[in-house]
Amino acid sequence: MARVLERLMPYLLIAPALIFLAAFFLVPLAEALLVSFRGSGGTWGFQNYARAASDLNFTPALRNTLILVLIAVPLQVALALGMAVMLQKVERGRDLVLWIWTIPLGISDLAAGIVWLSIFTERGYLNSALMAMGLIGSPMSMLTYETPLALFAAVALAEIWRATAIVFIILVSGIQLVPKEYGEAAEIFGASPWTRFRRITLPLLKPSLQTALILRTILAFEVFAVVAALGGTNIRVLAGEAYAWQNDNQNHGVAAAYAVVILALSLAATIAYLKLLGEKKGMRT
Amino acid sequence: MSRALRKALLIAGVTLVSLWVLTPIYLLLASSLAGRLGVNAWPKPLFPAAPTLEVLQFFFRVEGVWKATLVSLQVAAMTMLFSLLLGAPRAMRSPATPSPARTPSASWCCSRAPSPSRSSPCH
Repeated sequence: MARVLERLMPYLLIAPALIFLAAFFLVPLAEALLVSFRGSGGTWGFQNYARAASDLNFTPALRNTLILVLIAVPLQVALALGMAVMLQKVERGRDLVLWIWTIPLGISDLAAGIVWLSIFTERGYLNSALMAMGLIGSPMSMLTYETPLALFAAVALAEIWRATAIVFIILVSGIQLVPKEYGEAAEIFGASPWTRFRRITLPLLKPSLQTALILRTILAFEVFAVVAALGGTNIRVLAGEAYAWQNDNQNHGVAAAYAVVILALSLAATIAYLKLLGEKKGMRT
Repeated sequence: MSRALRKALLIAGVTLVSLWVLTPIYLLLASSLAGRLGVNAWPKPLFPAAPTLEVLQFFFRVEGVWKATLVSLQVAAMTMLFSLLLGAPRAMRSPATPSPARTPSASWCCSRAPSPSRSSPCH
């Protein structure tokens, strides 16, 4: 009896998580997939996808989301990597620095959007500063439909500010696992700090980088509240369109089609990261 | 690069990133302490001339704020509880996945001597 229980124990321990995932992730996922393929008359097919794709906002939403991911994610990873390396070198006040740098992690998407709204709005701090420096004569609009570049830059900045902390935390925990002996040995052999970083820290940080990239890219594809706070419907993103079709247009089929498109993009990015940054067989000893 | 220059660069970098993180939060705080007139003031002062809690007091008197706060707290507590209940047994099941960063050091420090390195996973 004891042996049976021992053999069953691993399955019993993972059972709650599996049941939870099945009930609250797999079932809704299957439901969303079914809804996305079910047309208005109960027929099955790609009608919802065709309707989403033919919508005027689809292309701008897809383009904005993809560009945002392509700009924000690499910048965040580079910034977080720099921050993690700097933190390693900090001797005094390390905990305080870590605490300050992770503050945005505790701020919700919407609150972060509102924080940056106070800066970029017409009567905000940026216009006040530009005016004080004599660079502009009157307040400039930056978050309107007529200023897509400025609006996009504001959203990208807010996203980078808000979500770099999560990448940073993952990289800090990864960098702490890199044995110092390797760097010390390389230093003895005359390797420069840059070479040590490139040849020792970066390769050993690959698993953490992979996790950070996957997590961050998936979240970037889902960007919504920051965009809603800063630009409303002046800038279109996929998650915003899904929300609009679900709530404003009350068309659950097209909303589900948008959700499936976001899921497909996230899945494709995850697979790409796993392939590109995955360890080759035989690397581990 | 000399040691002093490296230290100066490090301090500059840490300060710059800290300012990047803290400035937007400070600006929002300054805006909320500037009073009703300060919210729409133009140009916006960097430091509120007469800081007041007027706007914050008004906010907390708005109907539903406390109720919404309570709901948020309940959701946060339940999320933590369910995450722990579901995650803890799952974590016990799976042994830590060895990573190339961890494996060599772990085998070194566990098989020979305590590692002097602070970054070692054994300490």
